[in-house]
Amino acid sequence: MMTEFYALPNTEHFWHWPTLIHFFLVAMAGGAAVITTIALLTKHPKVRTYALVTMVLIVLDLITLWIESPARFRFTHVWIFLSFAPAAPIWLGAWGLSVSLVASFFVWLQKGPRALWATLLIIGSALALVYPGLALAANINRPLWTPVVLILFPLTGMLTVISIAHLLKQDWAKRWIAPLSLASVAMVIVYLAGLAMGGTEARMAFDYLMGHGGLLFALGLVLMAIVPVIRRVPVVAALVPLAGATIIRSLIVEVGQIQFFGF
Amino acid sequence: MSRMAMAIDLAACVGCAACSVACKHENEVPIGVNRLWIRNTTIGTFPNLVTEFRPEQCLHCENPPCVPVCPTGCCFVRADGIVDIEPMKCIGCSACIAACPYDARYMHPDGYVSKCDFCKHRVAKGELPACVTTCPTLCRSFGDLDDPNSDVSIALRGARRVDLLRPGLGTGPKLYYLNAPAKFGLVGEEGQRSS
Amino acid sequence: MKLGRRDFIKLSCATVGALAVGSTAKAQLFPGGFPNPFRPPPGKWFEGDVTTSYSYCEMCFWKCGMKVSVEGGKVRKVDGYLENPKSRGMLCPRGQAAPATTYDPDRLKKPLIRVEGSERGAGQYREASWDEAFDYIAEKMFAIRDEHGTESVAFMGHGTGDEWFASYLPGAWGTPNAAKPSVSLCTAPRETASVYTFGRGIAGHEQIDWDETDYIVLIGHHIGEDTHNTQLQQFAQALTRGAKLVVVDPRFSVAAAKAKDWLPIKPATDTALLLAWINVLIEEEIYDAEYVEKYTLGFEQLAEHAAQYTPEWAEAITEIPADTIRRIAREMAAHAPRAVLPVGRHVVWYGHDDSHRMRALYFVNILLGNYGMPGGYYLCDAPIVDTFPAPELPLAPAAGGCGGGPVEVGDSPFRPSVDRGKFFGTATSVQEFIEPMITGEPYPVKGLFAYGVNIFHSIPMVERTKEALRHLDLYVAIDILPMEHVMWADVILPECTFLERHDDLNLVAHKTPFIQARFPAVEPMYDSKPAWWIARELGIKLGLGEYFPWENIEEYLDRRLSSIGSSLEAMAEQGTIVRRGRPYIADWERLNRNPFDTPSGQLEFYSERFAEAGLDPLPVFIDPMEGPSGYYRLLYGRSPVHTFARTHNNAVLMEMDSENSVWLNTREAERLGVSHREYVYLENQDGVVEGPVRANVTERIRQDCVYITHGYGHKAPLMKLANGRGASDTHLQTRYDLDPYSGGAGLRNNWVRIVPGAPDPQHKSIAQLVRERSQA
Ligand SMILES: Nc1nc2c(c(=O)[nH]1)N[C@H]1C(S)=C(S)[C@@H](COP(=O)(O)OP(=O)(O)OC[C@H]3O[C@@H](n4cnc5c(=O)[nH]c(N)nc54)[C@H](O)[C@@H]3O)O[C@H]1N2
Ligand SMILES: Nc1nc2c(c(=O)[nH]1)N[C@H]1C(S)=C(S)[C@@H](COP(=O)(O)OP(=O)(O)OC[C@H]3O[C@@H](n4cnc5c(=O)[nH]c(N)nc54)[C@H](O)[C@@H]3O)O[C@H]1N2
Ligand code: SF4
Ligand code: SF4
Ligand code: SF4
Ligand code: SF4
Ligand code: SF4
Ligand SMILES: [Mo]
Repeated sequence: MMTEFYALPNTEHFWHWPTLIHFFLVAMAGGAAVITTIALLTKHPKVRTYALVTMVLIVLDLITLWIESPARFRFTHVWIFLSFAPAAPIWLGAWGLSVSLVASFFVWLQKGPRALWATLLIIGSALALVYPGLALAANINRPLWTPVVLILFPLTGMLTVISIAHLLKQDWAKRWIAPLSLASVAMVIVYLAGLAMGGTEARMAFDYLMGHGGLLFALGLVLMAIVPVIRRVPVVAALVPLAGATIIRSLIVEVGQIQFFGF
Repeated sequence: MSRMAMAIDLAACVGCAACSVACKHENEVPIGVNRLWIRNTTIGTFPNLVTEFRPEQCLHCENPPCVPVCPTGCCFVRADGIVDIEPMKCIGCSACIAACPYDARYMHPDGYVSKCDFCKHRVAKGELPACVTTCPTLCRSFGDLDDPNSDVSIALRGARRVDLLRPGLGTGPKLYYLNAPAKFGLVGEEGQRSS
Repeated sequence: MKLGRRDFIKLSCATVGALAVGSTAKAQLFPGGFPNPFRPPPGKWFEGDVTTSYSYCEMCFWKCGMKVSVEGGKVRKVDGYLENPKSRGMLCPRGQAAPATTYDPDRLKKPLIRVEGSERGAGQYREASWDEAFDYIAEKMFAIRDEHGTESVAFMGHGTGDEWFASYLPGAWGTPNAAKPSVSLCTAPRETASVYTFGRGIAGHEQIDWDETDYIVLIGHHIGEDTHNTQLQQFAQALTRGAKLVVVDPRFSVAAAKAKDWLPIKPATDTALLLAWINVLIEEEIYDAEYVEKYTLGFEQLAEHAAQYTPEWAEAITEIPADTIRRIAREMAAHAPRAVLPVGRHVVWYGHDDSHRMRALYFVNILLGNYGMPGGYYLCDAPIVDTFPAPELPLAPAAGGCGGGPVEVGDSPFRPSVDRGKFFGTATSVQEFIEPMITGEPYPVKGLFAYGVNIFHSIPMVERTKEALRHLDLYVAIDILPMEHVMWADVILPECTFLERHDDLNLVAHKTPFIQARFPAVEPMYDSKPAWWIARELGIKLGLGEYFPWENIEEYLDRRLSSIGSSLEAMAEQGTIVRRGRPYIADWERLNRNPFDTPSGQLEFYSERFAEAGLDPLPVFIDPMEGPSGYYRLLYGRSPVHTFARTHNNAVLMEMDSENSVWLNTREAERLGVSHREYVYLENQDGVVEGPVRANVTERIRQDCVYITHGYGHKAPLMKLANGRGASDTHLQTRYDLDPYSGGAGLRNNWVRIVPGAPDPQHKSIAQLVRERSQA
């Protein structure tokens, strides 16, 4: 079979490198919001610090989004918050992040009803953590964004933020790294198996992924898998899973923009 | 209520791209992105060959995956079934580009998403879309599916066979391909099926 | 069919890669200008104040009636209109893209004079006023006249303005050396064959009665890629109506993809196939005996002559099975007279046998009884409109036209054209003007005008042309773009594009003959001027003012139109005036007139006139030239979205099809180790190399030939989009074979070998180039 075109379909990548940064930051922001929530619920002494970190991350993420947006200066940008589109993952994410931002702010201030902030944070942080995977998995036409990413992304998102927490010498973080890494590795394997054993299109997608970053992908997987072995080495124990998770996430976002329509 | 739709007779289309060029000028589509392009595919071995010339554009799906993912609601289905975009409300998040299974959407350099809108400004004046008017083989028909006397309804009734693009996705395209030259329908679909 | 996964990935990478290079406005800090949060996206042109005017399209020479929409002082959109018999409301891709040519920023903008002492081709110019340019030209022309005679200035022209530059001005100046590429590099054999068979030319608008026919056999003639608008419309409508199609082509053309039978003939052997069909029709007595009896002369000689051309004989030559040849002949006969073998347009294929092939083609049609009958060839003449009253030109225009017959030489005080006597027909042969510029034989040619003729892309043997230019005293190019050949001229005169100008009336021989007019939609940009103005001003400078006894084109057109009871004003409202035709023999017989203007008044199978000239009175098959081993015969044709070499700087069309590729059969590619879309060089039998050009590894072509679309491979740095993309067929055509009947130059006698391993030229995307141009 041979295909030629007059003019080309719009197969260009629609998400560029700032989006990859966004995917990184949003994982951190969502994860931080989750940690803040837990800290609030468990009355952790450092809850104010976590709230502050959450706020900073959310703001950084929003700035990234703003820079990345081709509609940067359109006034109506704000309409995103006035519309009601609960079926749109980005709408959910936007609300999740803004609710988390507001709640974190009051937690940091230590003003207002704690129960309300806790409730808002539970919902907001969950949305913020889950929405990137949702935004990918919603596209049934892009074979690399399978439903498995719905679990893979929150897991690796948490792994990202916990690794950083570990790096920042938060004691409690250490014990979560290995379980999260191993769970992520398991999901990556489920993800790959799903592709390799799927239909024609899934197998093409698998080949495509392997052809466009297969080695990197393997590296990401190995980095997460060796976490139990290196968990005693300071700094490295945090950096290795962080790198692994980021590589895997970025590759799935970047390479997954392909669809195999009509070839 | 009406359901605007288009049909392209692949037995007549020669893949000349007059439609695509007309669309470029009519809708001032920037160089580098397209509302309409021609995919031309050959299967078989010499001398037993089938070549299909297939113009592609937004299919104005009845169940469009691009619409629900839009966070601002600026991507919507009009009462006449045309899937449309309100550029002033678009934040350029590209979620709809990701969701469209047909590569129909592009980011306009002015920072909003755009695509074929069935030349709604022409339709409003009772004219046919620019691609339909200029097509030298007259293989395109356009009109309201709910009107049995519309060009498109007549063309659909008269067709030997009717094919949809990627029917498995359940998008319900309102762009119909008539009289595909291959035995099993559209050539790409066939390739996918037998590989 | 196994899905080529690797192929896909490669293709998609290439596609994505190509796009990524030209990725959107991301890199800009403020996409779309300075940030204003309240600024809505710019309004659409159709929401503004839109006015329309009439024109006819000049994106190719088919000249479809066009309606031009202008808003904000800019042409925004062009469309066909229903009342016009050429466009019938539609335009082809090239016509649709007309505004992008007018707004091409690389256009010629001011008259230019080559810097004194600089080499031709070095591209060193100074800007000049029109007056200065005309003075310069006039001075050189007088010098040539005084030393060598007026005949030593040659004119080449193509396009609507060629009326002025290939006919009127040469006639007024006094040179028979005026020619159009659309004759000897296009239609010459079919015209000579037609005049000597039917006593009529083929009209510029080929008179195939598509609307009535039931069975179509195309010999080459790649309709669908050849996108002559009306023809494509009628062809498609005939198929939709259920007409059956047979396509004879070494390549699975677009038309072949629509055919019920594709006959992948061995190149250069079509005459054998046609002769075999003549044989079958006669042997099996399935020709239209009544028609033949009534209207033809020389059937007995033909029957006797054709007896030798059996399908078995033809099978050995054409590689088409004898059974298939018989079957198709029978099917044609069964559908006759509503079965037709349309005459192609570009028929200068192999030189020596082109007129034979055309005559054989006409003979099959006559045997089917279709000439002048519904469903075959209709009869037509151009409408008559008086010329503007002016003194008779000293020399009748000699160039002929693609629809016109050969021009007879009468008594004339001028020397005959430099190619006179080389062939039987008398139309001038553009490529035969080149050699005399170098050799001075039969007499020197020292001056050359190229009006709208791309002498490096339409005339073979480019190096010879360059050599000839070096010998000239004066070379003037009148063009719209800085094409390579233009940048060799001593004086470059920028014409405005057709959307910016009036032109002469276009009188079309058609089933319904008609007259159409062109009005400027917008003012000329830059310092460009229309052909009529350039010709007149120059004429005045040359002392030929008496032949231009009108002040301006409005006066000229109005006067001409008044002879048919119309006016310029009426034409501005109407665009086209349609007349009634006499398409069928019956229409002529009702008036007791004979449409066939041969000496016998019959359709002539046997040509006494050819016999007298020592030529074959009946078509014969001549063995084609053979190429060196390891080489493929180089075939070429059209891209549906481009016109010759003229549209390759049009941004919209270039985006559609931005480089050509060489079609190579899959098995040959495997043998050579060439993969799909890989860049290769093409090297011809004389060692000329073109490329890098992509390989299109395909099942759609025979193994003994390769194919590229004509018009790419520009070597013109000022044409930013066109420059250096793809390969030029013309540059690989370092030899041609002359048709002794018509003077046509057969271009398909060149062979190339594939040289793998060319570097990827790393072209920027068209989008990126467009952006760079708009920022410059
Ligand atoms: N888009 C577009 N359309 C055009 C033009 C244009 O520039 N662009 N130009 C117009 C003009 S002026 C002309 S003259 C016409 C030309 O167009 P046509 O008159 O259709 O030209 P041909 O040379 O008959 O057609 C080329 C075809 O001949 C096939 N061929 C090559 N060698 C042989 C052979 O030995 N035998 C047979 N049977 N077939 C062979 C090739 O594979 C190719 O498919 O196009 C007109 N239409
Ligand atoms: N190798 C090869 N040679 C061929 C052919 C082929 O297929 N292959 N085809 C042959 C055929 S069929 C034909 S008809 C001829 C065509 O031969 P040409 O008519 O010479 O072909 P074009 O490439 O269109 O060149 C037209 C020139 O006119 C200029 N031009 C465009 N518009 C205007 C205008 O409005 N005014 C002026 N003044 N100039 C303008 C263009 O810039 C270009 O330089 O070529 C013949 N030669
Ligand atoms: S204009 Fe018509 S024939 Fe040409 S590609 Fe478009 S739909 Fe097909
Ligand atoms: S083709 Fe794509 S853009 Fe058009 S309606 Fe369907 S999903 Fe939406
Ligand atoms: S890019 Fe614009 S139209 Fe598309 S989903 Fe985002 S806001 Fe909606
Ligand atoms: S309907 Fe209009 S917008 Fe859509 S492809 Fe045709 S010309 Fe373009
Ligand atoms: S065939 Fe196309 S390019 Fe030629 S005159 Fe007609 S519309 Fe213009
Ligand atoms: Mo031609």
